[in-house]
Amino acid sequence: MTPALSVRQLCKHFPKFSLQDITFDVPQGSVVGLIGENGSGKSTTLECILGQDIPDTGEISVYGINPFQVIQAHARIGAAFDTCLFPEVFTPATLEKAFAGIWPGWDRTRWKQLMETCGIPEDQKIQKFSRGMKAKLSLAAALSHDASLLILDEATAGLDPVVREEMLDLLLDFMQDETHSILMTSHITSDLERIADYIVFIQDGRIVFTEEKETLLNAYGMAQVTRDQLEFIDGDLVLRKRTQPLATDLLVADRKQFARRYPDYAVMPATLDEIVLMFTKGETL
Amino acid sequence: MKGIYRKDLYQILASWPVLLLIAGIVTGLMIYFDAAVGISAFFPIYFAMQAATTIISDRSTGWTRMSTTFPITRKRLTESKYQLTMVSALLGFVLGMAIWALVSALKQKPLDLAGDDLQINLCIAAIITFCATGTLIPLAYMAKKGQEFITIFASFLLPAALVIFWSQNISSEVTMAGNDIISVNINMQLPMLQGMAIFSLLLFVASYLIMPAILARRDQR
Repeated sequence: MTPALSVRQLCKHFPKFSLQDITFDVPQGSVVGLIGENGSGKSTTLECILGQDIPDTGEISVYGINPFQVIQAHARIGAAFDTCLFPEVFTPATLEKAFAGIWPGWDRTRWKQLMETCGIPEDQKIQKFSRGMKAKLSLAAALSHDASLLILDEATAGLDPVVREEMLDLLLDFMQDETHSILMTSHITSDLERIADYIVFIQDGRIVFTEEKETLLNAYGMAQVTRDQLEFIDGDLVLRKRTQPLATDLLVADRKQFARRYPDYAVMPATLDEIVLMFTKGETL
Repeated sequence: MKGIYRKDLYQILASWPVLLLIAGIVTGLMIYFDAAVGISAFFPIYFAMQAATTIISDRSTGWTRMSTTFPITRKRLTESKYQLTMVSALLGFVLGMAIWALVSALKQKPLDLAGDDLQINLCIAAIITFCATGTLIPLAYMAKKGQEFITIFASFLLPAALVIFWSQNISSEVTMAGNDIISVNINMQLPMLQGMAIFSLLLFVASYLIMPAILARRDQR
């Protein structure tokens, strides 16, 4: 099946930073989380995909179509960002009139539905909205023009748990259609643990790994050993180590295998936060 | 695509009280100083600048970033600003002429459509409108964050220089009989002014034809 989004060998060079050979797919019917520390290239990757920055080399295709050659491919993309990018003097009603003339598949009924579901007053100026309401408005706009692929750049950043939950519910509802897909960046890894199918980890402009979320959460583990114990650990089992004042943290790729080999050492499931931290701050054994 | 024009129109109209106030003050001053013909020049410039400065608003709100996700090429998005500017200038011209005609009728003054005063005002309007917006639109897209308002100032440098150059060339010829002045002929250099107006229009057209494709190949950051 044609992926919803395919990125191949994407490169973009800036004076102090480069994206290098970014390659990943967003399969249809899946949610891909793009994670990494600040400045790792997540937003730059999305900006290149959306055409806000022009890639130096590489190929991007949305449902098999290159959006740089056929701009109508964008009709299948809904995008939401960490800030509200709409004129704040507008009301949602005014915004709707503009969007109706921009998106070919604009669905007014769906928009009204979402305004009601999200509790967004249509005749109030956006500048009077809370941060949460602005975030919901952005997502509603992305969901109201029959998009098949959502691209979300920190769309839940800075929101309280209640609003985040509401937004995740909207995303899960969106994913009810098996042809729909989402590519999202987020520092809130609990959101990704909840809805992502795949995790792509990017560091210093390069993809470090692309893995199924279930594999990461079911297989990866965190162990803590002393310096003496470290000498006896098989390096092939360890992805990263991080020396702390009193012990050494180990990220292992297969915690069941690790537990079988070293039954006296405690090994816990690794969270996405721990995985990111170990890949960022840790070193190889 | 029509949604883009709608959005710009709504954005301009959102500040209608301020726009109306400024238009009212300027119109009032022109009438007070018996320079009502200047209204025909003011409104095209005023309207055209509102359209061109939507680019600055778009950048500050983040709409420019949003608009790259639309199924509309960046080249077309940029072209829409030029088109909106032209249409706004035309509307301003029509409104300006209508208000001048109304004021003239109320003051029971003849409407001299062929006179030098009107021609001079319209030429100055064309010079300022087309020179300023022809440079402002690309500069506003290319300016770094925070420098957008400098572009407005910079865009007026060329038309100001042209108008000043023209004004420096205005000459007068005095015919004397003894110590008495018989007549004063002022040469307003209208052909020069008309030439500058045509140059400004060509500059705007050149900007419209060349810059959208160039700007579309630039990164937005």
